[in-house]
Amino acid sequence: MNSNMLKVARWEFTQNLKSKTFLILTVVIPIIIVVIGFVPNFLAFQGSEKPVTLYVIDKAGIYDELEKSVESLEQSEVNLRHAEESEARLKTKAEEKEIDGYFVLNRPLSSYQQSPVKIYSNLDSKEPLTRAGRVLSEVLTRLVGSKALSESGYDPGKVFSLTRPIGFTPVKLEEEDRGIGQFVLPFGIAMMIVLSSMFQGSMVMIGIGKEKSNRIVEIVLSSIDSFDMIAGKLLGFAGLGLAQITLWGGVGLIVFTQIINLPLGPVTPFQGFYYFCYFVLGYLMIASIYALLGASAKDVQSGSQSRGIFVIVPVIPIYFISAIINNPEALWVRLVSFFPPFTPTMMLIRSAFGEVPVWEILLSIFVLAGFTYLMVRAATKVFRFGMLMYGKDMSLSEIVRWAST
Amino acid sequence: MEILKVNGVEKSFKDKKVVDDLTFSVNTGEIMGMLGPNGAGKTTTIRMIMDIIEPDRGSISFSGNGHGARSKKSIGYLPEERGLYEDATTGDVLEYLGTLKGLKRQVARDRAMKWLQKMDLGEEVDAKISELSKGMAQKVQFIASIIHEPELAILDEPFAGLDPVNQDMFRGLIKELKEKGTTILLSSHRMNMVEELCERVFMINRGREVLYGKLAEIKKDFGKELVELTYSGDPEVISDTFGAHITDVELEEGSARFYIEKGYSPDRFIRELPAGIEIEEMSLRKPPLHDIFVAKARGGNYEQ
Repeated sequence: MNSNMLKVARWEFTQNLKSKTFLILTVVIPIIIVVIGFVPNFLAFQGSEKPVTLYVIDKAGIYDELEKSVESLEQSEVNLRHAEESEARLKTKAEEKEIDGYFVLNRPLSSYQQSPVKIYSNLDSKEPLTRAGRVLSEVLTRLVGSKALSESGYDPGKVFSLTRPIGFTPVKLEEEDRGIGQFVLPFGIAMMIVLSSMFQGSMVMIGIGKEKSNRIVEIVLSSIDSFDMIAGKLLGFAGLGLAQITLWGGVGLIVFTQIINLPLGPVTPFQGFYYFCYFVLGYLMIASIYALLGASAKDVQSGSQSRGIFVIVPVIPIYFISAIINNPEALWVRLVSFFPPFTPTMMLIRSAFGEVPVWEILLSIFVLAGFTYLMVRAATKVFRFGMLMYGKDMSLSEIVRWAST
Repeated sequence: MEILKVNGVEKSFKDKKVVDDLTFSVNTGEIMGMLGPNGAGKTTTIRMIMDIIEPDRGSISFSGNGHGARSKKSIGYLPEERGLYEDATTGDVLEYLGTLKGLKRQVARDRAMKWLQKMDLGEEVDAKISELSKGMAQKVQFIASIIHEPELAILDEPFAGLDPVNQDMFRGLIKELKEKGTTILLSSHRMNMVEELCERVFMINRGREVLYGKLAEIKKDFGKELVELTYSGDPEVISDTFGAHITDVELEEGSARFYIEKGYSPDRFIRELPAGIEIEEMSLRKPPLHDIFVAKARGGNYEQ
């Protein structure tokens, strides 16, 4: 690494660190992503968490006992009200959503074991009613059981304690030590690589497009070699990416360990090594692809429009994330992991949800490093030619021809 | 002594040859003019000298060596296409471009300040480039090209877009650089400006050499003398008197502009001036470069 490269890297780093674009990409967009990703779920959860209030038309004479039992629960999903009005009136109120719902107890209790109690409601979500139904079912079953046991001369309390169910919980031996924290780190890094590389890559592409339009590139190329210029740019933006990821990672770490209280599993030196390799190589590869696209387009707008299709390549594994998580050791997943544009994301997701053999990690890093080197070289060559080709986009055949010279 | 030697250089873009077998040199300490109309191949030639693009054929050497990293540091370049980092401050841009030419950051910053003050831009050191007027930005770019005190400064159309006051200022700066020992290759299509500043010129049209040599010798070799007259009397008398000895005659009411043919001396011309006209004003001088260029390039579809 020579001093010219470092000078360019330093310039790109300091100038872009101060830019509004970097601030927006680093702070505002992640906030928007988090808000869009979590708030609707949070709101839905918040709404459904509220206990429902159900009116009871009690013709079986057990309302008081039922209410007492429900109120004695530590946390109840349901509040009960004794209905004073007619069923028809309650039905109207439920239809107009003035009340959450109601149910009728008008048969002998034992008959409900054969056919369920119907809760009438017009709520949009069935979830809170289902939870309320579970609570009521448990309480009512107990009541019916108690009555039957008492009538048969047994002590219901003793019988219930003797017949408490014995549970079984499946524990996969390999995952015994894998807390949820073990998934968060590699998965979070994979996401951060994709996001940061896309952000920085776009900035590289825009930066190159701008320099091409305002011709400053001629002054720079009259001072230093084109490889130093483009490699310096990529390095500078890698520094920005690292700064960005450090910030996101720091915030994430505080959120997980201090607020959510989720301990992140320990990172072994080998894990640290391959997280770092995937980040640096993954970033350089993606950024050099973007640089190549920027250098081959006639201007910034054209770069973002005509090259849009290529921009999504690194994001593609995200679309298959559930398939990868379900079977991280599937043959297709293992094979696609060695396709360099997908390697960092795929390998990190795989390592988050399964055990990846060491040889696969090392081989994938080796392949990725080789491909990244070729991409940086290709970007430099296309850049050198494309930079002075004003006024028109480079055709695909021209890109290939210049990249492979 | 030659500081720059361009030898048999050729360059084509696709099937179009834009530079065709150009050979010339720039001597240490001189201001050499590179002339030609727009699209003649000047900028492409300069980009090859700056190692921004490679020639298809021929060679370029700087101070007797090839051109590469060392020549990049020793040459200053003001490109024809103007542009700077719009969002950066004037001081930062000059410091950065200075460091790319091998200066230490503080030295670059100090020199930038000195030049900015000299050009009445001292207060703009912390202003963003986007906030500067076009003329101011052009001055900043000029500073960027010479901040490292290069041995050779290549200035491509330095006067383009400047108002007359700033044109004079740039002309003064170029002369000052020369006095301090900087060699200058001045590329322009504005022949009057080059004529004033340069001792030697290299003229190209459509990628080929048209004229090359010392300005005085080129004019002498051209041989014709330019006459400009204002007078009263019958204009036809002039044509009748000198006949085939004058060419390119432009006659208007009360004025005339023409060339005296090579071999027909100015003394003889004055002696034989006809009596039928009364001369109010007359100039007799070597022709301007523009006329020589047009004459030489005629037939080559000269466009300006």
